[in-house]
Amino acid sequence: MKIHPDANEGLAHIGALSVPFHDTLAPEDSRNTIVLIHGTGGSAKTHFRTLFPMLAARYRVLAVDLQTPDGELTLGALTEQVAGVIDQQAPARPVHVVGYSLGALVAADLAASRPESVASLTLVAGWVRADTQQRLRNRIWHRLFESDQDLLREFVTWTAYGHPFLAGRGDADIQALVDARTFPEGIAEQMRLNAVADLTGRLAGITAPSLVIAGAHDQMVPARQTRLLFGGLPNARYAVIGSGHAVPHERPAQLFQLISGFVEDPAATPADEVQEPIFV
Amino acid sequence: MESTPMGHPASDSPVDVIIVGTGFGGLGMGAKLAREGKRSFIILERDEEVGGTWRDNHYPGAACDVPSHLYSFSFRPNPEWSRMFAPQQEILDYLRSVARDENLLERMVFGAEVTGALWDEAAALWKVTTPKGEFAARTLVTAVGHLSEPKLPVIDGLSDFSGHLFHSAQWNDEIDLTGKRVGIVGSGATAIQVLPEVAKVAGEVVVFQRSAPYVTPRPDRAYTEEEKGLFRKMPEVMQELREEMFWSNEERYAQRRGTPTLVSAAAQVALDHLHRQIEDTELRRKLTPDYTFGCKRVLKSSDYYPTFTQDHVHLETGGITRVEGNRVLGRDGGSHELDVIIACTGFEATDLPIAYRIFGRDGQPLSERWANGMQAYATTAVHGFPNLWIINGPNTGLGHNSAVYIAEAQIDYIMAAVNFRDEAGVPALEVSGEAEDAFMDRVDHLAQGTVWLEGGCSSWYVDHRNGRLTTLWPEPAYTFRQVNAPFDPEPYLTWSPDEAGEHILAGVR
Ligand SMILES: Cc1cc2nc3c(=O)[nH]c(=O)nc-3n(C[C@H](O)[C@H](O)[C@H](O)COP(=O)(O)OP(=O)(O)OC[C@H]3O[C@@H](n4cnc5c(N)ncnc54)[C@H](O)[C@@H]3O)c2cc1C
Repeated sequence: MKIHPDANEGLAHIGALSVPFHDTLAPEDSRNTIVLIHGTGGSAKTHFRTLFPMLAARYRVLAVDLQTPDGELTLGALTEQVAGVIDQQAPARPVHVVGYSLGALVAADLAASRPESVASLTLVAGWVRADTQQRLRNRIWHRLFESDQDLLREFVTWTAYGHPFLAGRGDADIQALVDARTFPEGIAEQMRLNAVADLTGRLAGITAPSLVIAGAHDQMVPARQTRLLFGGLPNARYAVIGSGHAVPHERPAQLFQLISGFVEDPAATPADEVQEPIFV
Repeated sequence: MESTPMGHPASDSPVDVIIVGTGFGGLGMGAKLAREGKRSFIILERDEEVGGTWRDNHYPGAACDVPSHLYSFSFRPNPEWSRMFAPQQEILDYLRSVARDENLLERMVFGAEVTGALWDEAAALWKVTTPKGEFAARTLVTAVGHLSEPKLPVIDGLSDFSGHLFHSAQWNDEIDLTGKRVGIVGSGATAIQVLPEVAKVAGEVVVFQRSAPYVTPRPDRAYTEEEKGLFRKMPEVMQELREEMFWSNEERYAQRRGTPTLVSAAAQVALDHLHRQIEDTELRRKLTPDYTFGCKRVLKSSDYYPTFTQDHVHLETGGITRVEGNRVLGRDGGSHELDVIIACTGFEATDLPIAYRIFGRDGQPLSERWANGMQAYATTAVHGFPNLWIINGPNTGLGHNSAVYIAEAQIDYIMAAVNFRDEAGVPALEVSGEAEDAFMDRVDHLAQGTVWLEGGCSSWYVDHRNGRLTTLWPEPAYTFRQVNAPFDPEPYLTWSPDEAGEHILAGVR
């Protein structure tokens, strides 16, 4: 089934790669375009199954399925794919870019290298450069990937979701989350990139209005790391969601409202400020 | 404010605000006014007690189906909720404590059913008639509920039923159901709570179902003493829990937007639940809904389906032709002799009785303005009805989140409107007809493509008179607050006496 009834599925050819995308573009749709970039081991469908339709009710949504080419993976190789899809599908006006996890690093890289394409930048559960806590988890991940993928499924479930989210579910629900874990092709390369990718020094040149969103209970990319994006971006505001790393899975509706509010009026919260929590 | 010896406020001097109703809506409005402390107000209630929905619906098994830490006022968290979904008595006790602790009891007049409310233009006052006397106020806020007028099914001979007949919201405690033959008409939110309880004592139970609901598991559990202790000592933990509940309900909104992947995943949860709990294929078939998930209220119960596996519980899906004596005759030729019929058939939600009792400018009844279906600007103000604001009226229902959240957004709006009016020094605010129509066009537009209009079911969400979604808000709950809580004077008109003594309408700014 398509991610959304209005989504057209297509391919962009970038070098030797065919990069799939999902685009709700319809003739005469003059609404703002939101570009969604997923994270490690994901795809538009697995990371944005709820967020995509929520956004599609208000915006044109264009989501990219990142490909992992042979050889060593670099941030630039991923950024090039997103740029290629934008050039093919939405060249006319700057777009609102939303990146999640590794996708947040890609989004920031895009905004730094092609400022003219980016109307606004939303970075969800991203980071600047992995610290020792993150690299320790990354090492455990690789060892389990080589030795025991069943155990890796449990480990990843335990680290991906916030503890309140997991604790609020029954044993059968947890088992279903574990069973649903897959390790798609290219994931090990992406995990290697997570450990070495580095945005140090590149944020200061990003002029697009930015929103940095952290998961309060994120164990993969602790909020203290995500906050550094806020520290480095010259035109950024900061918001916290009470979730783990799996923000688009745990709190899609809250994420949607934050993104939509920001895209409607990027200056509603002035730069350098922490956003008021949404009234509940 | 003066009080009469009988304890209720004097009826001869006008007050700033009259609130009608003492459910979540009326109590919330009263609490905000009392906390602000700037205005005189009274609260009129037709019953002898506060509580609204939660006073009337005391049937066995009654409980909320939005978690209690969310289904309560944001400004009055309650660390004592015993369970995730508190039973009716606890919710009623909570509302009583709100009335008491917010100092609202002394402003209430009980037994005061509003039979007429007339806008007196010359005096710029609402004149309100009740059996307890006449009251006058500059501002009228109705919070009379949208699920407060019980609706009985239209069945030939039902009123001559020789056994006992009552509606679930008017439960007859005099009747002991032990060993009785009981018919339950309906299979909605109330029936699924009533059935398991009635089946525990009745000799025989027959459920007359018109259309099978989607039922999902109800993850109810008791809070531990440790949890309640923590809630008392660190209220912010309750707030975190509330947010978790709110956003997880909001997520369900996406299923209502007609996104096939999400709708089918959500429907599957309900169908799996049915399969796990019912083995009999014929029974499964009868209990399987025939419309799109979410078109009618999605229900939560973990003990409804299993009740049907008991030998003394029967499910009739053929429809009722008529009632004769103590027998209910089915369209398929079958008949059931019954001692008691309980109508779990819901409420009058689209044609609100209060609309026939409110008369605006030039004596126009609200029911006339709403003859083709109700509508209001920002869900609360109506052209032709100055200084009237309606809580839980048109487009305030939610299929997926807490009604209290909605009422609080409206209360914030009303507080801001009244404050604006008084600071501007104008006697009355009246929304323009154009602004009201434009707002409704926007709501209509948002409703397009939602499951309520396109899910192939008939429900009380849609007004059959105009095919519009008039009871439900078609967007997420947070969007309701974003759109309807901030007050903007722009669309309002006010009047001032001109030299000829006639009134002219002019934009407030
Ligand atoms: C069985 C049941 C379960 C529900 N469960 C939930 C739930 O879990 N979550 C949820 O969000 N919503 C639920 N609801 C919806 C519920 O109606 C609202 O949540 C909320 O309680 C409505 O509050 P209210 O103040 O608007 O109206 P009500 O609670 O209906 O209060 C209206 C008050 O106005 C009084 N009144 C009416 N007419 C007059 C008059 N002419 N003069 C004077 N007084 C008058 C009535 O006596 C009543 O006290 C449920 C409804 C029912 C019936």
